[in-house]
Amino acid sequence: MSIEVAKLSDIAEGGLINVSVNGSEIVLGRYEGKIYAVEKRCKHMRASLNMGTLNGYILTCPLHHMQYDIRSGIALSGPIANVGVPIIDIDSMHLASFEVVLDNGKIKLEL
Amino acid sequence: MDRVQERKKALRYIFQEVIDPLGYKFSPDEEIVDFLLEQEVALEDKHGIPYCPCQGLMGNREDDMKIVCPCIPFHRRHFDAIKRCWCGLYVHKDVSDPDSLPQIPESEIEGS
Repeated sequence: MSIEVAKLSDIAEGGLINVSVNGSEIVLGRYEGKIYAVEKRCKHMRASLNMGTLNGYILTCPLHHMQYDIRSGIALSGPIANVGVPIIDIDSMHLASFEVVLDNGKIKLEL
Repeated sequence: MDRVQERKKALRYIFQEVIDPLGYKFSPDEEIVDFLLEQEVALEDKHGIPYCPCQGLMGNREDDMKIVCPCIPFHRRHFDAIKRCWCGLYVHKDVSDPDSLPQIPESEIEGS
């Protein structure tokens, strides 16, 4: 089922916005004109990733700089060291990603 | 999915933005670039920071932060003199044959 969640004009290149769909918190990001959608909460300490930064396709958490590939949700690197949390198994910390459909300037998610 | 490969690509993407305005590029020797980036991913997984794989950690933050890759700004005079970074991951933009560049310690650079 596809659900309209925002308009393409709502997100500038390199921008991130937060949407809520059926109780799920999702972040939309725009990279090279395309829109990508991943779950909103960082797998480390549940920080809001829409408050982070999008450098190209690399989504960085605002809290401890954990990085993800917004195109796939793959965790690229763990949180920075010396924050009182041991280095963790990054391979178990990928974000869920969602299929995005663009329809006449409308952003729809396949859920 | 191979996270290490993906992280290597991401580091390359991030570092490119830093080194380009400094007048450097990745070495044309893809084999050495791939090898060094792999070591950096391992160091990042261990320490949380992609330190230079060719310089030893001193154990104090002030010194160690000077070897976070790309460490060019902290070793500018040395690297500009030899047209490469210490590892050879980066070379001056005008370098096409990285093997021709000698790895000269900073102490042997004239004027050090």
